[in-house]
Amino acid sequence: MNRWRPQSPDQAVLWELWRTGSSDLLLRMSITLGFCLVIYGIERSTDLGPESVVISGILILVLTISASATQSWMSRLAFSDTGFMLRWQLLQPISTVRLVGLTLAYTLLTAFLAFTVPALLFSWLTGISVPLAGPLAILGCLVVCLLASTWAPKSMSLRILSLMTVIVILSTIAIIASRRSAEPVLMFIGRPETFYFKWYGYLALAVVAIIAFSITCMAVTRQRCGESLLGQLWAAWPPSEWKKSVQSARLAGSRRQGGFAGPVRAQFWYECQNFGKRILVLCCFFPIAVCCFIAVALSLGYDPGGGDRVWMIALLVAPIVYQIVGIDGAVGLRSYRGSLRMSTFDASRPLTSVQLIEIKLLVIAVCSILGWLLLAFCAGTYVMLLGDPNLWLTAGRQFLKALYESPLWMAIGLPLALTLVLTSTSAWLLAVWLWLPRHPWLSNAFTLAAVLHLFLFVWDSTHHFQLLFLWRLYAYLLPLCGLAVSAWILWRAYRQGICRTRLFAIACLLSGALLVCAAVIVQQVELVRLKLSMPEIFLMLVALLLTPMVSIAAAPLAFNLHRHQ
Amino acid sequence: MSDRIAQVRNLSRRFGRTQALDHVNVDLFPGYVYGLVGGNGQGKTTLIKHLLGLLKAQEGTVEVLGMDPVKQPVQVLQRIGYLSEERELPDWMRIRELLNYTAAFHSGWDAAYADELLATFGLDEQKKIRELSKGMRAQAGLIAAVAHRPQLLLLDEPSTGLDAIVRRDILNAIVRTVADEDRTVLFSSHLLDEVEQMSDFVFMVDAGRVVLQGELDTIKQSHRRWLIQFSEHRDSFPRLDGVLWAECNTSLWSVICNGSPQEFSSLIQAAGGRVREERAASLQEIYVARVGPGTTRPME
Repeated sequence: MNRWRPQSPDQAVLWELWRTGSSDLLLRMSITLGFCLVIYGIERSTDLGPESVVISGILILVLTISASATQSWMSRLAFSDTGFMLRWQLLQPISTVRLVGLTLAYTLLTAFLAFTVPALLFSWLTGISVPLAGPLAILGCLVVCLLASTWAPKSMSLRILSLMTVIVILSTIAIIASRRSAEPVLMFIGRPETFYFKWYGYLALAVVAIIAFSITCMAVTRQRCGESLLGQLWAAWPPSEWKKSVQSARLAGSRRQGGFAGPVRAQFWYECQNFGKRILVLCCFFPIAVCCFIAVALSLGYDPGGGDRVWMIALLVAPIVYQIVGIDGAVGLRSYRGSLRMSTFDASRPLTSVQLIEIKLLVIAVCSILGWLLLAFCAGTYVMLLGDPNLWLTAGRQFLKALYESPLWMAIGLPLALTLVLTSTSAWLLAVWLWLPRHPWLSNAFTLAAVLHLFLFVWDSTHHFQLLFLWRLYAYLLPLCGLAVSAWILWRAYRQGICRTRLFAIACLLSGALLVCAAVIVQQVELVRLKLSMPEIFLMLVALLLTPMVSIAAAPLAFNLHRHQ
Repeated sequence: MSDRIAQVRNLSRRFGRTQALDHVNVDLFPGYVYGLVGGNGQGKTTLIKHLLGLLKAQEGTVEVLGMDPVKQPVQVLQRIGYLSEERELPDWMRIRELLNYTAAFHSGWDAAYADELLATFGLDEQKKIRELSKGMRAQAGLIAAVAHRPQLLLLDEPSTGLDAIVRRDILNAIVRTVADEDRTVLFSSHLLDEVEQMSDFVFMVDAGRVVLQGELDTIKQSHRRWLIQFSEHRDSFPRLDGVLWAECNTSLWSVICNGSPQEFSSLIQAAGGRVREERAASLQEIYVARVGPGTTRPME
């Protein structure tokens, strides 16, 4: 078999970039194409007229964000390795400028492709013109800045700081630019004339990109011989007495670390150090980001009452964000010889997989609650100092009134449903995060199938639903598949003894409570009773009722896939 | 020999198209030091990971301390000490934290022994793992693996990164102490002189198969190295029973042979050869004869 082989270091670098990032690029392209099709569907079903500018604005915004989040810098965030992403290439006979330039060029090319292809498809389908030159210039500058902020720093905290700085600066510039127009932001972005820059506009973007590229090259050159840009400053600037006092304080702190009362406490401490800290750092940054956002909005003359609403939204969104960040850390897989795997240290802990999962979930819950309380405290402080307490009181009263006036089943069902969503989400996410690396192509196949079906649905919605039989069939098939997968997971869990654990008993209790709640709802509400007479809805409800049990059983099973391969 | 510490029966494992282990049978008994010898990628680490339960047997069975390490990981791992080849320890931990953390999992943790080893290696307990050299990591990992006095100590390439003195004196002393306390050590290595120095029993692995196993002394006694000279020039060595490997150097043939020396000597004389030298073969020579190029295994 005559397989292609790279003939030069340049080709080797490009081949490596394609090999490690092609599936991610295709996935991203599929999602953006799917998004274009959804917008096309909306555009076809409603006569938008002048509001097509808003659609164009949404598209440009989403495509820019999606295309700028290319694998080359995104994927490195998940791992503890810092610095330039292709570190092993630093040993190859290739100059740093060439190496960084090639990687950058490839990343830019993929970003441009991820923007241009969906934009052109959208233009062709709808006839709405989407500007290309201006957005691509901004995208290019954005990508170079993001790459510089990811590759140049050698420590994770500096990397997060520089990334946030870039994002805050660029967002501020964008908001200030949009305030020059009286139109809403999306309409402003959607107008083609917004991106008709003068020559000096392009020059400014090019200068920013060149500066970012130069900083990256300087940083990578130092990384090549084991140094860092800021490392030299650190060596030169703080007085040695100060450094000594910092080190002695650290040592004193660590000496306080005594023994542990048992393996579970030790593992809890380990997980807190391993990824809990990361959630707590985010928990500290999140209120600061909200404050910055409100400050920028207020300085631009937005409604002062908007600040309270931003805090309310933040309080609602924060638990989910904290959970996702926590899950990413809790999984603990690391890259080894081109694949993701669990370290032998983690895998050889003398605790059962269920205990390990239990502790991970507990750490996520504790850190998320602590973070949420901190956010609530910040929100409270804001309301006391700058906000409108009446707005919060009114919202609170409305909520209590709604709860008081609502039937008993809703008063019980709502908190229960929230508990169910939060606990099951963590367990499900943990299971999926652990399971996906073992079957990477399956996830891509699912995404592709979903995008194809989306395309089919959009087409069908504009053709008087000729494929209604297919959607009906899916309404039966999907719950049945869900039930079959649930049964399979529960059977596997039973075989592996997971069903005889405390964690599973809690999940059963939750499922039982959900069942009682569902039964009460069915008894009380006529509409639900009517809907349940439809077999597909009944099947869907049964599949949903199993969710807590299945999600709790799936997480240790997925963990075992890595622990006992 | 008393009850088995570990028993592996017909263990086979594939990674894609690669046959990592092929019907491997291993028995480990208490009080012995077992050396697992083989080249890179021949299945040593795979076998150790099966004993730990980090890999599930695709074919065959694995039993450690009378239990299945996959089904009962807690009971097995509590009584095993393990040092991984990659020295995978959490970078952010300090050595003291690592020891405290590991101690929590093992009721038999001997803090005094851990401190003694720390002092012997000269490790600073306040140093973070990420600040340690490869050898120091191995030392920290070794303390964490042995301080709870495990019934079975699994060391995957323990000497990698260790300097000659630590390797010869300290590692050997630790391993011997474990064995003297009637516990078992299985260590993998490709340094044959080290295996020869430390182990009582040897498993020689090649392409996923155990090509030779037995007590080191028995193996060394049964393999002899001969220097043979023929009266006339020969292009190949005669096909004689017991010859594992033969190589011609000028007019002398170096031969590694497994079997009775008297029988072989008479066969050589009948073939027109003269024995110039005969001695016990080293483990290195036996290994090369068993798995290296020029092996004449069909004659065995």
